[in-house]
Amino acid sequence: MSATLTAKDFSNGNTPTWCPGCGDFGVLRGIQGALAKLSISPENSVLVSGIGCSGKISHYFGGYSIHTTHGRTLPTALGIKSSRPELTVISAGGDGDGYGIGVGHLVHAARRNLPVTYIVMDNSVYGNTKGQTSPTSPLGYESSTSPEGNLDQPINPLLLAWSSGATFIGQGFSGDIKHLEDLIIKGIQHDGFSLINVFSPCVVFNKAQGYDFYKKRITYQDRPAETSPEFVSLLSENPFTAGVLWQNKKDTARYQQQKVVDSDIVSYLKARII
Amino acid sequence: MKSIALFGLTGQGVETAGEILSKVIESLGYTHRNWRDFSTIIRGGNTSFEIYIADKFETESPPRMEEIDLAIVWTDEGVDRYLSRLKDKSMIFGPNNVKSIPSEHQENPPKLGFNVWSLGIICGHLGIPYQQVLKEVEMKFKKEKNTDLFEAGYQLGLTVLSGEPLIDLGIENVTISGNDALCLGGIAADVRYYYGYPITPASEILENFSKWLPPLGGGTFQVEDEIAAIHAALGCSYAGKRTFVATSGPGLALMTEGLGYAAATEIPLVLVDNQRGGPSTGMPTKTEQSDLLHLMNAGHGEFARILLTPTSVLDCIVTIQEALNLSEYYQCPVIIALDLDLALRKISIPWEKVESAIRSVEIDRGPTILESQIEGTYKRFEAVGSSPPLRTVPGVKGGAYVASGDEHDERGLMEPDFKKVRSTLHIRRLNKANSIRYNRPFSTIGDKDAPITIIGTGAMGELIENFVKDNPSVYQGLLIRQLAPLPKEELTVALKNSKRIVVAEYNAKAQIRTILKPGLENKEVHSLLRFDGEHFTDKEFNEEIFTILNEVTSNLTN
Repeated sequence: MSATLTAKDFSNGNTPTWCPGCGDFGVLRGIQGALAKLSISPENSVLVSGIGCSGKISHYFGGYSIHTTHGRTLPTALGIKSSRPELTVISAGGDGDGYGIGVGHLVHAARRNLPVTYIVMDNSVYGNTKGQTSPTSPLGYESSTSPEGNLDQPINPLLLAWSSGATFIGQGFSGDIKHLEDLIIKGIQHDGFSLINVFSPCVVFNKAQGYDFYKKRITYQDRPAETSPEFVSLLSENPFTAGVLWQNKKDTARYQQQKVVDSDIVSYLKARII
Repeated sequence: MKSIALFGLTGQGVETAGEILSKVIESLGYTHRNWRDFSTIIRGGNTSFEIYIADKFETESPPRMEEIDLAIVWTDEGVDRYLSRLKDKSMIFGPNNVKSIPSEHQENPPKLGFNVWSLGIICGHLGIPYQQVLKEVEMKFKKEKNTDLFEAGYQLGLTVLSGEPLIDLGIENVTISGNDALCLGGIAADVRYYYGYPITPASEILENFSKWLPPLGGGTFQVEDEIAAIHAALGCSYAGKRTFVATSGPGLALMTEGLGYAAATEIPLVLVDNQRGGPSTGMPTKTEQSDLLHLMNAGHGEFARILLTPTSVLDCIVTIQEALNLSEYYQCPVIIALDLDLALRKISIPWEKVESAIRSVEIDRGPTILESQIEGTYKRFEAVGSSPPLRTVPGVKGGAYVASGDEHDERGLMEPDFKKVRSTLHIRRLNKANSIRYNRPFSTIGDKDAPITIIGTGAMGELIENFVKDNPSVYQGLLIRQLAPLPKEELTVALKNSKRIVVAEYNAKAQIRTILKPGLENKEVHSLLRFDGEHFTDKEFNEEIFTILNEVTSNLTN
């Protein structure tokens, strides 16, 4: 393990093809900076990404990475983390990936307290397919798939993860990389499942929710809520509250199973069936 | 050879009685095979258990048999099912109100207790020492009432004591199913993690592993669906650990997403499909071999795959180990297709046969780099001459790469020059498993020069073997173990002297025959098809084959 790691050590040299101004640049920098500061070596870190613009993040990452199918980052991360608990595993995807097609996996990763940091780049739009309505698009949002305005209640990912038993819930903004990097550090250090929702603007297809939109609304919370009512009221008062909003401790021993058998494998198998 | 049937309602513990019986016979060292007919109705449906016990010192398990020596039934429906199959029509037992049962074979056991009473009759008939079974009964059923019921049944069974009572042979036998066999082979091949979703007839694998893996430092996860299962398996495999996924038709439909992804990313993957009656939810508790054409082509786009079909319970132990080796060498999906009967059938055979199957395959991780450091620029998807690319796993310094389902270049990066990579990388991926290192694409029984060959796989294996055994100079049996890539040349050689061929399979559209067609050129080929969910008995199968062959003969003489 090297003490002199920098964010650059977590780049593979491939130039991102995101649009200029894309929020995902900030998220990539936040992940790279966090891992460097934690002195986690690139070969021991795995970035799991989904599909969409945000999914391309794994192609710019300097550690091991796996660009999965649409919505499946968390099951893939489960397979990696459960079989190689010594690795640092980060999942990253968009709001369509994580709150639309993959939302079922979010619930189950939270309830099994999977020790993975899940970063969702939330831009409230399907950018890669050119601007359709997403699960976090606000009511009335006009797009090619909701020309009369979005009729579907936007999902509340933080409350959903919380009610599913998530043990770490944070929210950040790709326009504030320093804060985001710190949030990701805390997420990685957390022993258990951490969800970090990141407002990551799409400057091409969701101009209404650009950097200024978020800057005007974000308020910072400097400590997690201590009680359930406090957590719920934090988000009801301002859905754009940033910081670590919830953290508690639950057992993760199942991810550190110890071998207790000394016999050779054939004798072990025989004893199972005789 | 002895064959016994027990027929009752689901919820009556027929299966439990069968398990105890099987365990006791196992402890005496007799090779045997169990057959279960179970309903999707958890309480109150019909269920039956049949056991076929081989002669002493026989080590090959018998096939499903038609002729029954002793039947115990709970209802008239059981009489309808078994009377015609009894060698001696009086050898049927049951409650007072059931038809066609000799009065001296009738008693009045309670509905919940019928199983213990029946077990008594069977053990009495077989001459199994009373105390030996009683111990098992008392362990399983705590109430005293059960001991009385067992005693009553045992006394009744003694009235028809078999001519050759079972004795202790002093052979160490074990009882395993096809699913058990996959778990044994899997663990021997270093599987320590397993991700699954319950489905008939593959749940046993998840259940076994949930008990067997934690002491080895591994574990299982019952995930939310089969999409999660296959992606978790892919994550595990990407991370350098061995695993496999197992499911049946409906789960396979969901796993198809991951199948193409495995192909695109060249992450080793072994997928087991325990086929049941389809389409859709179909017949969850009935056997079929009807996913094969789907398995040959499942997934959008085009990619290489290997499709293996074990032919017996023991072969499952071997095949899963071979499949894990093949998947790591070729870095493509390796699919193993069983059918419900093979997955659930339980056979009891000498442990030494199981042990030799477990030991028959060495772990070979192929071009996987687990530890050493990579020098220079590593290109994950660049072939090494005509050999597959080197594959690193997390932890290997200098070996980091991105595995992507998006088309990519040799480093794995998306948005490459498509024209270039489609004519190089994609072509390599398409053709990498055109021929594979696999020594036994089929096993052969009987005379290699026989004029007639019977072909089949999976559950059909035991029936073909049994059929050929009786007349080895006239018939050859080919039990297919590999459907893709098609072992065409080997087939042509094996069928050189066969003019007539019967392909026996459990589906309506002759899927195995369709797949094997290029290897069956210039032959007179006939199909034996069954798709009502039932597995043939030996007699049914033999008669069907003879009918087909006689028709052929009469056609020829006409």
